[in-house]
Amino acid sequence: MDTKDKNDLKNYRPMKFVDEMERNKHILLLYDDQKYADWIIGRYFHNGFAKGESCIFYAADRPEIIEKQLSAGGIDVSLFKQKNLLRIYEIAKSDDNNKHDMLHTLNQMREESKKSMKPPFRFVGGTITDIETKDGMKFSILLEKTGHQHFDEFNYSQICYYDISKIEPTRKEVWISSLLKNHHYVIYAAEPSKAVAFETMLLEKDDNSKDDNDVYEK
Amino acid sequence: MELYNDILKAIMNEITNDDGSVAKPTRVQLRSNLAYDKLARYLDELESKKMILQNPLMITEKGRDFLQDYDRISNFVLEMGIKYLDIPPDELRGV
Repeated sequence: MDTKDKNDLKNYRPMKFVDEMERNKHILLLYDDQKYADWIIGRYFHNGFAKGESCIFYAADRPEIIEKQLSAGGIDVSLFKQKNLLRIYEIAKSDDNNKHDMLHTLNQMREESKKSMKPPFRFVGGTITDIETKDGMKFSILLEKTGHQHFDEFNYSQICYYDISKIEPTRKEVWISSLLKNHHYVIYAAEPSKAVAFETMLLEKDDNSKDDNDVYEK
Repeated sequence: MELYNDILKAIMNEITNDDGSVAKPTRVQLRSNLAYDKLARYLDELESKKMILQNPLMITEKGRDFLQDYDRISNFVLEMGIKYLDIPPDELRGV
């Protein structure tokens, strides 16, 4: 990491949010430059290790690629793997998008991925790689929705990351709105002047605004 | 979200003007130009979101963070082409 990057990382606005995030939250990480996503994931795992939490990365790519990304984010991969605090869990590729049994599959994957590790858990997942097509995005939203509806039943936090430059462009606004709706927090890991993190409920139209609209309609 | 920003800014300005850490609701009402009942409802919301304390009226660190990030959040919303998360059902059809 060069001096400019070190400085940028030190002053990167979303880091304070990452450091202060409450537990058991479902977090959406949007990025268009892998470098900034690596910083966020690195900090998120680093904070977990500092608290003695187990960190699990769901990998759709080869584990070596993920290890390289984690190293770029400042994680000593070998050390934490050795301590059984870090696991890169390879997701088996399947063409069978079985929507009916999605929750069961998610639970099974989660149970299997954390075997012999100690709670509490932090997950990072980039499980859907086919976000460049409408079908891939539809499946992604369905998966996120199912996961979010049952999120509070489990005791863990999870970052789901998406490269927004790859998201199917014709319905991008709707995809991103749907993703925001199905997460507690969003982190936009962009260049330092644009990067931001906040609670997604800030974008929900509140009851007071609805009242205001009623007044105008009358 | 815009109203949150207006109210939090009004509280901050009051605090700065008074050179203390507590703001008077009536002064905040004047600065934010809202009816008192409406302001009261928004203050309740801001308190539930842990951005302010009401008795006495003070801004929390989370509220200060929101003020600092407001422009960035607005730009994000604009760049992504979204406004609110209550997506119309016809838009969601097929998602």
